[in-house]
Amino acid sequence: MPAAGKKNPLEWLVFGGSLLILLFVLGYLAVQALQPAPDAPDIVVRYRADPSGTQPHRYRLMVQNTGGRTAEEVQIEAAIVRDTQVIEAAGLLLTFVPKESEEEGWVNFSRKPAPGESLVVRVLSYQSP
Amino acid sequence: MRPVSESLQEYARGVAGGLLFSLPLLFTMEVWWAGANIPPLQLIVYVIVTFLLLIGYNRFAGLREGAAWAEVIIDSVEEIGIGFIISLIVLWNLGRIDFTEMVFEEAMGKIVIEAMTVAIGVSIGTAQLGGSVEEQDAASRSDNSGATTGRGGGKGLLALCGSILIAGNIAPTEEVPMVAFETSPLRVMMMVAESLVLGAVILFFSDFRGSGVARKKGIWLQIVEETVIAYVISLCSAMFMLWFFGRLEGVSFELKLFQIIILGMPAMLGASAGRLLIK
Repeated sequence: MPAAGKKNPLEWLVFGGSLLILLFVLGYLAVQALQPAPDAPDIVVRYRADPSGTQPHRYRLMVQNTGGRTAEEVQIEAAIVRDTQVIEAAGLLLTFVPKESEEEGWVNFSRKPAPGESLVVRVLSYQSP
Repeated sequence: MRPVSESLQEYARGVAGGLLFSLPLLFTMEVWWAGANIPPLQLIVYVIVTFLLLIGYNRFAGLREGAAWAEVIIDSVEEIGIGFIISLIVLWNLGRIDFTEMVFEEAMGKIVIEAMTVAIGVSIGTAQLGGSVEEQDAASRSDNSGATTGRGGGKGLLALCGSILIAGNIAPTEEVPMVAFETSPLRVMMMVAESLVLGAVILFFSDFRGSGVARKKGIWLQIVEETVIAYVISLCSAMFMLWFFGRLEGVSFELKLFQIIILGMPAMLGASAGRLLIK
């Protein structure tokens, strides 16, 4: 059996560093574990016009999950609406929006909302993993 | 005092081994996802279980087999530390973690879950991938003496490590439940038979390698005994891994059983070949 002998400075460094990392990780996880269980996801959408050369009627959607759980299959609908009638609608499907995170996507229309019409963006559905 | 160059070589072997055994998992989507979503308590359990596993492996089968407990614990701590560093670097390179846009908790979860497999790989790599001449001489001397090879606890531990090593790459993935949902009882029964036969064959061959233990019971009985034990260990480790990745929640008993048996086959491969691969 080879005797390891006394440790050289490198080995002390690696051991010390590893011990610190291990204790930090366990401590952090313990603190996380003691916090209350996460609630449901909560999706909030912001949008703004984001035209490009090839897509002049494009909108950028920023989808934020402010809840404590990841949301899957997040369906967003953007629609040009006159009174209560939907003139044109576009959908965005995000497979995965982690908790306290933001994802973004783009939707396209064939024209801008005319006077009397408005753009309505809403979250249709999402599921838990 | 050991020369620094020798220590560096040992660490290098560890890093190589760590990557060798865990790179597939570092590239597996389901593990990234699991890291982001597994509750912190489960992660703590995972770290502790891995730590104990490392201690057991280092003590009974690693490079400095039979060394003092303090030494073994120090080695295990180092292996986990190296595992974290490697996991951090690789995940960051792959763009799977990001400290500017991602919640710290998510990054931490991914690092932890990957780091444990890397740590086991580091431990095995340090023991297996070459070594200084005197270390190899001592290792083969202890092999031939048979005193440690024959110990039941050591064998069981090797089987457990082997099963986690092989089946651990498959356990998080979607394919296991998919096969379970679409299979039939007949196929599953065949898998049990195949696992047992495969394990017995591999144990038969590994039994001749480096084992000087006198066989009082006759070889067939010993093969059967070891095959059954290895299979039980495989099923247990498959069950633990499936539970950890949430595959056993909310499914019927039949599907739980199917998944365990399906994952049990690669686990059995690892368990029976464990002695060939990692000792």
